[in-house]
Amino acid sequence: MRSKAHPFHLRPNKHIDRRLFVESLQLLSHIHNVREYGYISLGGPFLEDARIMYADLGISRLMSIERSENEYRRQTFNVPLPFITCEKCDVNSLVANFESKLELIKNPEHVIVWLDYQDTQRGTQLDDVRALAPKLGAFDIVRVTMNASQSDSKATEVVEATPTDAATGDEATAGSVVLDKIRTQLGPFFPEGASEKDVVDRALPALLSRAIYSAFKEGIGEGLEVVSVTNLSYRDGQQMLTVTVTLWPGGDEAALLLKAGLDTWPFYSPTAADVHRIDVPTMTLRERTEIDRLLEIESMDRVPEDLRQIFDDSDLEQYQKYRRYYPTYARVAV
Amino acid sequence: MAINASEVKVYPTKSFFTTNLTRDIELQDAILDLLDNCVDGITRMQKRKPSSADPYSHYWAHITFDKSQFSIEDNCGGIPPGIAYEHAFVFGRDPERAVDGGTVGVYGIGMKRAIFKMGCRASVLSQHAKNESLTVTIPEDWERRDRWEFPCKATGKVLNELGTRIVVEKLHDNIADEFSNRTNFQNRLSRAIKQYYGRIIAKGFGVTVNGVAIDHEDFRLLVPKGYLAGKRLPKTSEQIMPYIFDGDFGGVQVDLVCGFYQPIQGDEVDEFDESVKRSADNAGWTLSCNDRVVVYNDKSELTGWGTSGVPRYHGQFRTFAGLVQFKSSDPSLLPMHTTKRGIDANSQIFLQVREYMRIGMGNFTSFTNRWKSDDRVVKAFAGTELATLDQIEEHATPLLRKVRNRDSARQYNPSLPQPPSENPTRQIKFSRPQRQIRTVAKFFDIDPDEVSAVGEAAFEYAYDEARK
Repeated sequence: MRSKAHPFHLRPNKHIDRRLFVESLQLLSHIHNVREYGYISLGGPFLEDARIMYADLGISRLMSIERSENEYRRQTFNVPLPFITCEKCDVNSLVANFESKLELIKNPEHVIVWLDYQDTQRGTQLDDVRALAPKLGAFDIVRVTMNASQSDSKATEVVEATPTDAATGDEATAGSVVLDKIRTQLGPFFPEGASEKDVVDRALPALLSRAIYSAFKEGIGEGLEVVSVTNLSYRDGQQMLTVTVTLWPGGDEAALLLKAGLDTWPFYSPTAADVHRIDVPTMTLRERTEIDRLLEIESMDRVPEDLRQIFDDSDLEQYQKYRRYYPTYARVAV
Repeated sequence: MAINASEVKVYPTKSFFTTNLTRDIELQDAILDLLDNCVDGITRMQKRKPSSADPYSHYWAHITFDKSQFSIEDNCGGIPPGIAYEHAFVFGRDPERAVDGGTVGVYGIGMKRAIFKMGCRASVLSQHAKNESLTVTIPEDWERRDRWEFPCKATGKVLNELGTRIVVEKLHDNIADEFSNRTNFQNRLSRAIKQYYGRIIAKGFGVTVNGVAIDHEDFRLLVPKGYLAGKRLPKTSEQIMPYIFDGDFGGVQVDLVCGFYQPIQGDEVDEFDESVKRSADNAGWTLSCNDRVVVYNDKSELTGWGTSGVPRYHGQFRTFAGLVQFKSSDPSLLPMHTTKRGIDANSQIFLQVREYMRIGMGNFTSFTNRWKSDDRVVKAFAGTELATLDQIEEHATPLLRKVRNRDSARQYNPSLPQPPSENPTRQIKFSRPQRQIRTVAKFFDIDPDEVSAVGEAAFEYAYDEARK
């Protein structure tokens, strides 16, 4: 069986997630060409995402916001393209000054916003989403990346710190502690009716996805509908969730879905709770070449036994589903 | 037209009820009014066949909606025919008619207001006996008709259990939009039901919204371990216990409990810390009238914060919670607003009770202020456990003492632990440039984000040097 340890510098799942984002934007281009969109993200010190937006989609009205002084300094040093505007501000001040920020990237009619979060301050992140929503117009596209690791909720630590639950006479169970913690964390966006089974590690992305949609829905303008494009979860170390939504005029959804070709796209998520899991094994080039040669679109019968000892059926199914997007890594000496 | 110069015309118009009155209420509150009617139904059933243990169990209400229709169905007994024919559909309540005991509904406006808030056409079906039911229809063009009466007819057995079904159609555009769930109305409504009917749901009332059952959260506070096992609290020792008060205020039974629902932390509270910001949602005072919550987790002057010596609410008090229950068989005595969404702050009963709320919470705010910068507070909370309201009250009787100047009231005022006076600790607080902190952190091999640890290490280092 393959090792679960991931080499940190090779993150195939994250790569696949980003490829699917680009592909979803290509599909949405059938409605309005995304090349004309403005793109705003939390680009981090390397601004890799902004570079991809230009390289793959031709988007040139690019902006990155960053609130940490230190990261901002690195960002302006590293900026890979002269037409990426770096702004030192947080999401709240972006929202408060949305119109003037858009002027800095030539007032695009539509925008793509990517809120890319790494830590588990989910309540604050949902507040950001809620704050952003009223500023969005028809055909804008938003992607939210959120940490969906349950292990990060420090369940064991909390169990120890929580006094005995006298109501049942038992020690508080880990599940109920995690549920309480996540309920508090998500606040008004917690999906009512959710139970302990919704906060186990595997289920958490779907719960968080519903919370993100709630935050959008609470804030959007009149006549607009939050439309789910694709929800993905992947794990290269921490489990992450990415939710991509667009806003369409209410009533036009069916026609627009058809026009974009989303309805037949394998990674389309019809509802908030539909999350595609990306869990492709890390492979050596030799393993991959061999599997590529023998793995059919629908059958895995031709893959020989020695490889199936290494990669089980679920590994191969995952690879079958995402092979088109699987990256090739090579060592480069500069 | 001849004008009568000695009087002016005074009469209501239908549109006053269908348009004006409905503007004063939020959609969510209008639906809660309907749920209040279900609860009133249960109370009426209880009078016929009392069962005190779980008065609300076996009763349910199912709320469903989409962009074309709203319905609420319950098994709470239906509307008695006398009330249905003569009173239930009248706008406002006849003051001559005695109010039902123990219910929260006294104003006779909720159902009609809710219906007209949502749409133009409705039917109300009441199965009040096994084979007898009554269906009242509100036609779409009612507002244009001359007559005020709604058509009705006797219908046989329609519902399996005794209860009511209200269906509203021809929804107003803004309501249809909310019910389409475009803006997440279902979650907001579910949350409100959980907050305001939590006590009733805890006692067995089953509520669903579009098929999803609404759960409840128990009100719980910290008590010393052993308290629940019936161990007597030593009179002299100081322990973390809630403040408990009960009394009769002119026909209204008042039960008040307040205390800590989680330990306070020794460190200064960081207001920007997310877990602090969110967990504050659970703090504050909750007030209920006949089990129906009317004020939820309040942290304002209304409940005594920032008045008469009690400090204003601040993040450091986020571990405090209190619950006051007002109960009366005559709901008109209860200190609540006509909308049931709030306490009547001028009511004499509430003003008197608020004095005891202040006394109770004063214990816990002073405790927090005394201990907040002392790490040893952890020890003060060692040996505590959470107990539900019922458990606290069940074991409270031997502790309660008479209250001076108020014959019918009793209270337990806890003596909370004091910080030990030997070897007292003080908090040192200072700021330095981040860059310098990083340098010191590196020197001690500590994560530079753990700034308190960096400060402590620097102090220990200097202290060791100083003692040499």
